[in-house]
Amino acid sequence: MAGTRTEIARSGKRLKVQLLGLLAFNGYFWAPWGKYACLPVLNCYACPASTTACPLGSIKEFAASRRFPYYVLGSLGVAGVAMGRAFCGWACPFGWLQDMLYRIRTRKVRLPRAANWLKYVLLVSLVIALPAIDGKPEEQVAADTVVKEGTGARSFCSLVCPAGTLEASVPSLLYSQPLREAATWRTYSKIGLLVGFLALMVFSRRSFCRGACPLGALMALATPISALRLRTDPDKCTRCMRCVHVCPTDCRHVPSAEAGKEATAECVLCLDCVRACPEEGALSAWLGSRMISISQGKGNA
Amino acid sequence: MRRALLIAAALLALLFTGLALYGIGHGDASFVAENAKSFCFS
Repeated sequence: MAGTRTEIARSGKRLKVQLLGLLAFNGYFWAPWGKYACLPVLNCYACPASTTACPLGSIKEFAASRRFPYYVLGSLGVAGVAMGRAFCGWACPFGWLQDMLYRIRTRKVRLPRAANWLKYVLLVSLVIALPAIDGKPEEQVAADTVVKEGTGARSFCSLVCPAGTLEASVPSLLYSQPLREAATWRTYSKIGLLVGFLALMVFSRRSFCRGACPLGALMALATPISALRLRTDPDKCTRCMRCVHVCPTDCRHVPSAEAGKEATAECVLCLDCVRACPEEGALSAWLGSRMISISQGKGNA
Repeated sequence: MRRALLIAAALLALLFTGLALYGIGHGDASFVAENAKSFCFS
């Protein structure tokens, strides 16, 4: 970990959208039909309040039953081509949690860029390969919930996912004595991982998104061809590096060196850089050929 | 260049839509919902 020059460009609008997302993705009781939908946000479908199906959980179930996930990849692909990773920045409940924890006042650190690669490893190994090897198609609906281990495929969900632990495992363990008795080392190791991730989120912004979210890795594949992207005007940019310092995923580069390559795979399109930019018109966000946001020169970080 | 990117994005969006519809036609959406509901501990 290196450097502590991290700033926050607080956006009231984004916070409101995130809170709406939190409600919308946890509204099962008023939208039970939502389980048919797979949207690119990390919100465990084992949580009773969850409105939609988790894309990662669905992909590993397809892998475990040796089926190609046409529907899931198609849905994520449409969202990715249209919006890139904007869902991560604006709607993901777990992203919101990370933003909130990062507001705790303490010394901040940045993860090294090499950490970004871990999520791709997790995607291939724990979401696709391990369930495909481990799965028993005839039993695929049975088992790898929090504590009912042993017959379902091991996967990212059953071994790592802190969102699942927070939203499903912990409440179910608190609620049910039989589940507590059935808990194994894997249950407690997941809780340990959750605590570790939560602690890291306080010190390093969007650390889980950057290093360990397989869904972010999947969506990152669509970022280069996303219709929603950032653009820098090299004539107006003064290379003050403000955008680099406020970037939550540490993906902004020195604009002069990267002109025309604004959207890296790590960009969650939170637009904090656009808000923080002190040069009027130097940085803008575009949806296709339509400009949706432009730096006002206030630099209100 | 910008227009080429937009056209590529539109074509990919069409491709992904086709993929999703093909999946729905083969019962993927029901499979997803079934799993999501079966894992829900409530």
